[in-house]
Amino acid sequence: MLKTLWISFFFIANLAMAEVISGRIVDVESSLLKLDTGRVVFLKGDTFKAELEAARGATVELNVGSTNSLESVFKINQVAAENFTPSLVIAEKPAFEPTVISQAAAKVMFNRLNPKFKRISECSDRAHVWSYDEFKNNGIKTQKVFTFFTASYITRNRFKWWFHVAPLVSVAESDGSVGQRVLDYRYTDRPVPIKTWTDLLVYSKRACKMTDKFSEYDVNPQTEDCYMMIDSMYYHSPEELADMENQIYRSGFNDFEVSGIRGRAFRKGNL
Amino acid sequence: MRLIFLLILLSVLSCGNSSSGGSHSSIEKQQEEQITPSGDKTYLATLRPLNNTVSGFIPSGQTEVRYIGQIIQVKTQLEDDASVVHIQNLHNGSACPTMSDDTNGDGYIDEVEMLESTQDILFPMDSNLSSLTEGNFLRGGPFIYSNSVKYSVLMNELQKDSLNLEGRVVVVHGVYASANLPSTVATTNGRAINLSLPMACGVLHLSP
Repeated sequence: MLKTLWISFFFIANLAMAEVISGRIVDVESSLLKLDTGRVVFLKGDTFKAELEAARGATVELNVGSTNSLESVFKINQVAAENFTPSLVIAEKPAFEPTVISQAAAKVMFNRLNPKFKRISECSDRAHVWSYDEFKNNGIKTQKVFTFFTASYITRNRFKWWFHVAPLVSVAESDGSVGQRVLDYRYTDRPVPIKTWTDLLVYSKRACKMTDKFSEYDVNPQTEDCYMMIDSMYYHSPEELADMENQIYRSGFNDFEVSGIRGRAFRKGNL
Repeated sequence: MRLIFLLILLSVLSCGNSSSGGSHSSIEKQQEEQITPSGDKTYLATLRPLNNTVSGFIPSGQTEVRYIGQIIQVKTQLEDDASVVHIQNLHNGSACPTMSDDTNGDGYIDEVEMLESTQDILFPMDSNLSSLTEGNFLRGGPFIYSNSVKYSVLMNELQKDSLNLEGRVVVVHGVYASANLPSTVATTNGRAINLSLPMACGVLHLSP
């Protein structure tokens, strides 16, 4: 006898562990491949290494095994990924003053960040849209905090990313000083101090060495676990930070670029 | 995709109706009408990492619970790299645990310590939402879960007249078997400790 009418619909998609990832090759190191998405892939010896080094700057599709090691190269697209022409690039480092808000306002700001990011989305894209929206909607100027993980840290911990980025807001501390809080909605549930944020990412809990030159990380000394760079909200990617050493600076948002990034990183509707 | 899902859902609905032979008594209908959700709405929880130092991956995800007419639809999308059975439950509490809940100081928030914040399980998010008895959970690193249940059936099972999901807690469990966890990590039901260790947690909030 049917006590109550019930309906249950069940659908499971258990995604295969052999993962296909794509991105543009930023660097090929002795045992690591770095993609512009932030992902790293471990190389098995010299297999594929020459092929990938020759394809530096190209977009690739890779088959990655359960240990995050490269199993095969599906596709190499020698045409470099589309680069938006930034409309607000200048040759002299512009002054940038982040807005200072109260700690309570920082919490309110955190809770209004767009939570509808896609399951597969890049931290640089999320951070850029969150910063843009706060600036456009509320006039708040934030910074970005980038953390770069060294090859030794990545290898030791089988870590899957070589960098991570989130918006950084300046807050008035109770003692009258100006502090900073990271707004990483995907991984933390509130604005957190920089060290709390990096402790989530850096298992050794070592502080990341602050630098204002990407090349200091890029030469990749093995003595540090990570490096950190802080700059204005206009910087989207590590490559843009590296551009600063060639006197190429960002001084504003490119609305067209942000629109494309939003489409990549955020969904409009439900899951 | 959503259209396909709705079509399948409608087809299941029509099957359910035909299996009952369309012979519901008016009493049963009245009982169903008394237990209805108060309008369509969506709750969203961002699942954030717990105990993430056990691997080089930082898990995250989202759970969405939608009231669609008489149906409650539950979806989870999770990013993880540990290909294990991921137990996921909705809890009665209102907060995810923090390291301050690590009362034995072993560096891990285990299932027992977690309950201080999350409180008991309201219902498992498994293969059978119409029963509070644990069904099957998903195995996999990243996964997409979707299931639904009629509101009145769930209320009957929970022995409640209504269900307010605001502030309820979603917890996902399961890390690598090779995680080398200490013996101080506790579990509540005899499961392997790697499967019981909480790895992601989020609090449901009404989505605008």
